[in-house]
Amino acid sequence: MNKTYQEYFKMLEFTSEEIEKELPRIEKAFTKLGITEDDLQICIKRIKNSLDVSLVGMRKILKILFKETIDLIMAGEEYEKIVYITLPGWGGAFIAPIRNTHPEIYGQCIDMLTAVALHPLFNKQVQCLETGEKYLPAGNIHCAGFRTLLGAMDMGVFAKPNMMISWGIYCDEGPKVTELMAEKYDIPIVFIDQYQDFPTDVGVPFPRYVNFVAEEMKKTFKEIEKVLEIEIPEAALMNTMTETMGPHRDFTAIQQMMLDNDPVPLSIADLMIAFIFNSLTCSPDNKKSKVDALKTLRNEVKQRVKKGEGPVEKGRPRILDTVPSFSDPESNHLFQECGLQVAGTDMAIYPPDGSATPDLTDCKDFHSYVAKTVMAIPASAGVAVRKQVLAAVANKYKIDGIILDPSYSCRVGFSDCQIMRNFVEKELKIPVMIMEHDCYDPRFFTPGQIRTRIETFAEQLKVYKVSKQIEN
Amino acid sequence: MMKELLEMSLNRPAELSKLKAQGTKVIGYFAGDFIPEEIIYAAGAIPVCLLYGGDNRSVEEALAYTTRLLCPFSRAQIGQRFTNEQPYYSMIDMVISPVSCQHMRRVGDIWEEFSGIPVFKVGVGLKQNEIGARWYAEALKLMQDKVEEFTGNKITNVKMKEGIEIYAKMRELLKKISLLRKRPTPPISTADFVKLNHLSYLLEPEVMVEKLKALHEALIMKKEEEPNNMPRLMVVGPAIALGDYRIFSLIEDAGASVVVENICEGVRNYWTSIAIDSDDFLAALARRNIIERPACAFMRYSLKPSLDNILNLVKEFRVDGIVYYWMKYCETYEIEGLYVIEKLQDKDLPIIFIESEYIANEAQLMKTKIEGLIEIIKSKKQKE
Repeated sequence: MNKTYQEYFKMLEFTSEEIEKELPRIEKAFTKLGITEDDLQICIKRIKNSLDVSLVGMRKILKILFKETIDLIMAGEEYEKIVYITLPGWGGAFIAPIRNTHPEIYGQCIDMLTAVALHPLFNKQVQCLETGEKYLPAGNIHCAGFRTLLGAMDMGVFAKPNMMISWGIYCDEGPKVTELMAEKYDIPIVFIDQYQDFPTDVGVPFPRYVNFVAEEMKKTFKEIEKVLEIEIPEAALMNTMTETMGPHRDFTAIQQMMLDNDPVPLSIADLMIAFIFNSLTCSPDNKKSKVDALKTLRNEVKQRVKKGEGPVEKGRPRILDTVPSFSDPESNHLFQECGLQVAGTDMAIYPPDGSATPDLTDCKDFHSYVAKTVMAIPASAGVAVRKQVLAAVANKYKIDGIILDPSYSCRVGFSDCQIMRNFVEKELKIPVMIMEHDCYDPRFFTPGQIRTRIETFAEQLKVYKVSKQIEN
Repeated sequence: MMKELLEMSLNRPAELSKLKAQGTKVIGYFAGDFIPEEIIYAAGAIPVCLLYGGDNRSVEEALAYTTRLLCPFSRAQIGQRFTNEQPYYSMIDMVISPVSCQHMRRVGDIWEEFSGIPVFKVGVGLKQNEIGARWYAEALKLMQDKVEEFTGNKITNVKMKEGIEIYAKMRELLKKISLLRKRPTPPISTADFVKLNHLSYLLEPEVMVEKLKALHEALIMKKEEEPNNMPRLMVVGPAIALGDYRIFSLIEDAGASVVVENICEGVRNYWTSIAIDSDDFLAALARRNIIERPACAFMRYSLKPSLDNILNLVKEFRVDGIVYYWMKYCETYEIEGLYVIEKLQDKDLPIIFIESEYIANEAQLMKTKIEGLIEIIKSKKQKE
């Protein structure tokens, strides 16, 4: 193994015994994906420049993401049946009970894993995206997350599944592309829907909506059992819930520490990796490591808080970034390069009080627990909830400004930006900026242009801070 | 008859202003045929469908309130409110917005934030089954309560039945007129038929029924012309706005005839009738609008049924080719379009994909594509 490979695997915390054991599979997967030494050199540079690999927890997370991607690529050869759940990515709830009870079945929130791993760890997202453009034309009309998935399937990198599950709780794009894939490959598909005719005068969690999603989930499990010819006992669902609690608590603790502290102890680039990692289902081999990785990261962040350390110095403007990039840590890293502290993303902050932990009281079973969690995410709960969360965060955590930057091809996320800007300007009276980017398409990132936008916002924030000091 | 109706439509906003001054509520709603006018009518208010479009001015105006990612039809429904050029958009007292696709959903959100008038949202079934219909029926009940509260009028079963009957009659007449286009030389152009359909959303339903009846009789009496042998085209797509008639004139000018349209937003769905077998009118409306009518692309499992629907219309109306008229940024219809194009290639049915953002200079490209389609059809016919 040459120097580049050694450096790459060392960065990901692999021991030589592990490499020796895993190498045949890794080589096979690398061949399928067309990985070259150049790709690995680019990844080493990309990761070291944008993620904090001095944190053991972060290295552990990257290692598991690497291993999970290899498992995904090899799934067609190593498992009897495959099930994919597509974006948006709160699908671990379905996949984990299947994998826990039926180890012969592979399952994954496929496009969340590809979004977070293919670009930083393999430098192969662009190739998949370009291939996917055969089916979903290039431009801003379609979600790059789905183009990546279609491309990877077309390239034969990911195996054709036996079943697809689509969360129809967020957008139209996800269910429609999943339906197109199901038609193209003749795969059974099931949708879990949610309605979005949210009233403005009723507080979250909208019981009518939560109950509907919970019912949809129950029906979906029945359909999964039928199509995959398996049984998923109720106890398996509860076990999944218990299992996910630990890592989830660790993740929410990290996000909460970022909201509570100045300096913010972790960069948004690292948080986004942890955020998506937390939502993924890991193979049985990696389950314990997932718990360990997030716990380790939590402890390291705690230590930083104790020492008053963070990637950006104390007192610098603190902002909220609604939807940072999923696939490109380099663009997320720009915030700290411009001297801004990002205290969190509204994908991981919940109503009514802007806490990192959703209110799950009254959840009696697995289905209502998941449904309520999903429904509490501001982006899926509609305009009123998003406003409530932005207001709570701004008031409670001394946020100096908000960047509204959901993925440009995402209608749900991006088309409410002017509503939110109007609200932040008029009601919260803090600086706000709409920034175009694509959270699944690294080609969208041009450092010169985005840096200028962020720097402009940083200037605006400094003016705001000075005027506030003068006022006081 | 068309002239008479167009004249009436020009006077309609002034008429509504007078009625408003007398205390009648004018309730706007967005197109897609998911907001039953029957409920508004039964509450003694005047339903007005907001469906103007075709001009880029309002589309551009909307960019102050949303992104260009919304389709031009949806953006026009936002922009019209703020350009103050179209009187209906300023005179309505309340608006009801279907939460169907993400585009229309955002139109409702944006009106709620910026318009200053009450907005009520109705969740539209995502699956064409009992579950989808049940959610929608519940949403209609909430809408009924809201309309009653807003107008101060109780909706009785008698009024509701009256409303359902008058609109059912209107749909039935539109269908009868539509079917006349099966003739070798259609007695009414699709451009005129679509205009009629649009006017039916604005004029008093009783008047409209009377005029449609008279028109239908006149068209039946009209002597059948010699077959013109022009290529018979179908226009398929997400939306045709009132004012977006360019596609029809381009096709007609190029020497073809549009014999049927298959559009989701903007035109009234007249294919499906309503079955009333009890006093549960909302359930009947829900069954018709969600389960029985052709699927829209935002719905789940719609790809195959939509293709089948297109193929049925092709057969029924002896269609030679299809113009897939796509509103730019409509993701679900683009996906459906790509699927349909692939499937129709197997069936040797010529189809072109034309996109629009209501920009004037799109016309030349549209014209070239349409001429190309017509050439293909003609050479195919010659070979036959």
